[in-house]
Amino acid sequence: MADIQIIKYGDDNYPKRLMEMSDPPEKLYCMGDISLLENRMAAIVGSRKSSTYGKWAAESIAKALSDSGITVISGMAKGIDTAAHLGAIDGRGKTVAVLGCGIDMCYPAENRNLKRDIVAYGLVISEYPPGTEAKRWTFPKRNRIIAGLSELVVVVEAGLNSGALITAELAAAGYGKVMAVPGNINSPYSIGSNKLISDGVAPVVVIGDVLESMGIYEVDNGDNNLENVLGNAEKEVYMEIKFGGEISVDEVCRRVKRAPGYVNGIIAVLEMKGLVRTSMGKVFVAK
Amino acid sequence: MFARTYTAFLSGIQGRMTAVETYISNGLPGFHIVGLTDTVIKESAERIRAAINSSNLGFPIRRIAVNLTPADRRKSGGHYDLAVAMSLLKAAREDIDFVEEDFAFFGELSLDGSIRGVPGILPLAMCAEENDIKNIIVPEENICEASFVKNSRVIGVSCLWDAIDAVKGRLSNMDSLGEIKNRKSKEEMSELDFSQVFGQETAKRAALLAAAGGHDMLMMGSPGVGKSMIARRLPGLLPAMTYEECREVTKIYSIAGLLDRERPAIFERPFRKPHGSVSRAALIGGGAKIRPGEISLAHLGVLFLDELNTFQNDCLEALRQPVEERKVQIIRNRESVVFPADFILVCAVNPCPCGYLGNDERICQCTETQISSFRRKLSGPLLDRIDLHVTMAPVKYEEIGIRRNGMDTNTMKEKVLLARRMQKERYGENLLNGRLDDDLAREKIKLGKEEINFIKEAGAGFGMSARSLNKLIRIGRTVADVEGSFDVKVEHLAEALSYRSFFDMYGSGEMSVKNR
Repeated sequence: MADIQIIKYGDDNYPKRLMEMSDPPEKLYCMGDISLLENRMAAIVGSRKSSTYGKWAAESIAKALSDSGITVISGMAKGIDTAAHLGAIDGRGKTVAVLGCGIDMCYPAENRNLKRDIVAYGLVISEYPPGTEAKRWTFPKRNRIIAGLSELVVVVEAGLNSGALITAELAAAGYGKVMAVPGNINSPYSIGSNKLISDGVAPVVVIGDVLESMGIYEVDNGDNNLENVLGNAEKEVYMEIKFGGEISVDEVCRRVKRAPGYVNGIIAVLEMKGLVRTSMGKVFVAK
Repeated sequence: MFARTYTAFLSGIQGRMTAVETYISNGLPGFHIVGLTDTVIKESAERIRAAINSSNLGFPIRRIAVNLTPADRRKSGGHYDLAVAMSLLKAAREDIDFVEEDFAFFGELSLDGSIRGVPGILPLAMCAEENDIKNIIVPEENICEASFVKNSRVIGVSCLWDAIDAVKGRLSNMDSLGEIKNRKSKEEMSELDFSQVFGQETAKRAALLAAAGGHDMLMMGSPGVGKSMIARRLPGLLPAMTYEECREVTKIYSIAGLLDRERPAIFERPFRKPHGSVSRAALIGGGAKIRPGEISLAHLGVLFLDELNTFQNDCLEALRQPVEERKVQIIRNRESVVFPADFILVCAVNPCPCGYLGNDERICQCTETQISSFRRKLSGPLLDRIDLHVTMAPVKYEEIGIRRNGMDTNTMKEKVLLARRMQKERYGENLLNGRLDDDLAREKIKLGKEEINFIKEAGAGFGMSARSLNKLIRIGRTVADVEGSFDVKVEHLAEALSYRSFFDMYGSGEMSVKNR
């Protein structure tokens, strides 16, 4: 276990952005690299229960931000938060997790390894003294820290009562910008985030939008090369998946007119190359 | 006056010969049966007395002692009645005489002298056959199942007088196998066909591989996606059972008392679907009088566990040994028996407690905690031993009835038979890819350089264990067999890879952490 450092209100390294809040935390318990608090930060938040699409979006946006030197901040909950942290760690930048429990605890417990990684690759903070158990109300409360620290809050998949909406509201009430990732209108996971868009929040149309709103303009780094390393058969299947959106393996088979065994093999290879993902019999583009 | 007859008793699916000795002496009249007998045999005294009197054969009013050998083995069952009665009659009456080693008797007596059928006739009769007993007397009711016996004469009797006629050579065997054969052709025309399953071609392909290579299979999907339909149709893909296989399966059903006039023998591949509330003894085998469990009743067929999560944990734990060893050992009451349990295990499970996680049409109502505890229960060592894992997306309502051009049972079965031939050529015996142990797999399944590299990449890319990689090779071999390819190629391994366990794909995304 790394050492716990404490930053008090008024200390030199107390984040400026938090001082502007109406109820700033008195103390911040920190584990990891506290210099990260001076970085430019963007939050990625969303529901714990999420679709594969949502996790993909969170991870991709986080990676893009991280690669552009933005520190990604989130709440280390399951689902979207976890995906965001993973994406950020995957990129070149760092990530910050704000916990809703004491800093020595890990909630949810299965994120133990993730927490260890964030401590190593970034920073974990909490306003609660060590030993504080997670309560229903501690999560909405820590959301104000996430909102306060970040210049931009990206809401990926939020249901109607998601805590992510609280973060968005707090950010909008303060000085932060808010963006939302649009979802299918038949998806229960995206109702809240889509509603944000209808209320006037800017949608993330392509991932570059997030960077642009942080004032970063993407340079084409030739990501398309990945597609070029594919063989013809692989490319055929990959294109079907890319343009089919979230489609079932059976559907891919029908479109390329091949046997399921053959298609499944290609999908497994694409998955190995990190280009697609499968979940519950459906395939998605990963990158 | 002394006489001896032969019968047999059961230990597991093996019969053992028993001699029934009768000694009639002067003294106070009485009828005693000894030899570690249970209540059923103790009570047989009354049945035998009444049956002999009802048949006008005159029960001797003298001191009668009956001994069942070997004296130290516990014996039970109603089938001793006939052997005891015949031994008694032989001792009491000079007009009833026969060579004792030439006959074995099985049957339960009624008070009126008629003979009723008993369970377990086939293994008992086969035991007599193996001990070179020329004539096997069985209840008429059981004649069909006993006719699997080829080297001895099987004689069906319906009353005590029939048995006397039989030992006097006045009753010959009746050929009932013809009748069985007729029944067989009727049963073969099953109405279940894979073309009735809409969509789900991936799961159907997995079922094909399961049948071809003897792999176990797990399906995950929302209610109504067709998991049960596929499982129910899987036995239809398996090659027809050989005579020996039919005999072995019939033996098990005979012991379990599941044969009757309607179904005197088993010719079709068994399909067993125990309910989630099944007890450990009913699933694995056991009970006060040891009976084969569902896993043995599924021998050479399919055992389908629907809603895997509803099964008790100790049931799932107990499945581990039979799934690995293809037989089960049960130890009870100083007795240890082994039942065969060589089945294809097919499991179905919902993705979450409510069943609608990942479903487009309906919202999943479960909390995260519910889902993870649900998953924790499932991801045990048992699932680790299941080769083929498939997830099934719901078929769109609009698609049902439109597309019917999926694989049907006949096309699939052809591939299964091809794969089975390939395996027989390679292993020289009845061995299937899914049942190979690791050493044999290494020796028999040769891979090229490219293929080995692919496996290494897959292992690194998906963080697969050594066990999973061995599984991958075995499944890849089956894919190659189904395609009629002598070599396992990368494309075969790639397909095999798509049936890997999906349990590591969920949770907190630990997989991507590992990937880095």
